[in-house]
Amino acid sequence: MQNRMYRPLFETFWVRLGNVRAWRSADHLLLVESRFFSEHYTRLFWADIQAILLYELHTQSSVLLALELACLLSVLAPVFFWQPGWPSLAAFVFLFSYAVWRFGCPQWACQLATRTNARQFALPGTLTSCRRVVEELKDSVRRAQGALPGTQPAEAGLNDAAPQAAAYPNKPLRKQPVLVVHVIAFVLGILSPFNVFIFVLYCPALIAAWFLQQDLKFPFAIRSAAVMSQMFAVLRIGIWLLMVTRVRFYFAPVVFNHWRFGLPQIVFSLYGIAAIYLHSVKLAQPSRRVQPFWA
Amino acid sequence: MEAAVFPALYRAEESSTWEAVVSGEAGCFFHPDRIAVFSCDRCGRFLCPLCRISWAGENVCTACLEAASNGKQARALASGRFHYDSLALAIATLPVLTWIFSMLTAPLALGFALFTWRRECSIVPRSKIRFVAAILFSMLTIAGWIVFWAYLVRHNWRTHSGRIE
Repeated sequence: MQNRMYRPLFETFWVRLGNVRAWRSADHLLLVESRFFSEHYTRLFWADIQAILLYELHTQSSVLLALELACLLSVLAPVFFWQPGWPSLAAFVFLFSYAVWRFGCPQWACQLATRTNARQFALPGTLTSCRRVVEELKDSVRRAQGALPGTQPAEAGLNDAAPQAAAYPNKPLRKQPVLVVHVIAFVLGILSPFNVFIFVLYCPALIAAWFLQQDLKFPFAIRSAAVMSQMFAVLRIGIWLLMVTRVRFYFAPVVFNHWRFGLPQIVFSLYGIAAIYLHSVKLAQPSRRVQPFWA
Repeated sequence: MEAAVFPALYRAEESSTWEAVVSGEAGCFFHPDRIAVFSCDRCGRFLCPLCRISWAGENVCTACLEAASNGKQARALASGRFHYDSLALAIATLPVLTWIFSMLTAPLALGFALFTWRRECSIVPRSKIRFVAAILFSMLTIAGWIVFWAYLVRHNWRTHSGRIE
């Protein structure tokens, strides 16, 4: 078996769709999950797939956007009001990086369910392109399994509960304490430039949040806040690096007087940024409304 | 949400039911008291629903599956791979943040990249660009350190010579 037996399910050139990539072969779909310096495989054979679900990730709800706008203002306002000039440039960099992240977020995801497993992965692009990918998956499964017992899918006695039962064979989802940890880390991240003790608390909170957000059931709302927290850390790195140079006096309002924490902050921040970049697109829980393709 | 279901959803769970063997019928190789309903496509052993493993379109027994995992078909059963190229790149680049450690890690990264060059980092297509980047970056770092030490030695030698004169 050569590497050529696998080809990507979809091509993504500039959007990173989380840490799960999908590759298709003749008889199965290979899901490759990257973790640190390794990758782990899950094979879903076409003949075993019971259901395919396409669902929206709800990343652009009005509540979320309002929350993110408030967070943006809370970060940018002090910079603009206290010291126009160089800090404004840094703020625009932050704004740009946030916009790149926001508009690069996947909006749709796919879930494949077998009798013993249910796996999710994000899909790139619009609903039309996502449907095209899902149609390819459906064709592959139908070639392996044939048609449903009835002549038409609607005649097979399908109801809303069937795909849900296939998608969630295990016990129902439950809330996780990770939400609280992420909120704490985010607030500490926002406040940490102004107090060295808050920064000392921020570093372990960042690490704890990163490890806890590995949970697949982690909602996107708080994760977006975590992403912003990481972006804010980038801004602080930039300020710190500039302060090392001779232009540091231009940054007087953004006080950064804890020099001895400079290197750990860079390391922690880069670590957090890489982590959030690789792991922030895990999927939210699908909504309960079910509408079959043929409806 | 949009959903589609397939015949596998309505397929009976074969492994959950089994019947006791009666006289004149074949029993499972691993469970002689159970009636055999499958045979291994590789070794021909009779199997009950519990022992039958459906893998890559075949009915196989656990022994054949284990043999396949150690043989030429190991790749088809691989559960993961280690990214030697990413680790080499990390060893080559991250210590540069601390500068002084890069003096030790750059040769280490270079040796590691060359040593693991032929190792398989993934069963899906993956380029060697990380290995190349790690090698180039570590060579640049080594060159930088050589220049630094050469300058330091030369400077000290001149200073020392001047004092003697």
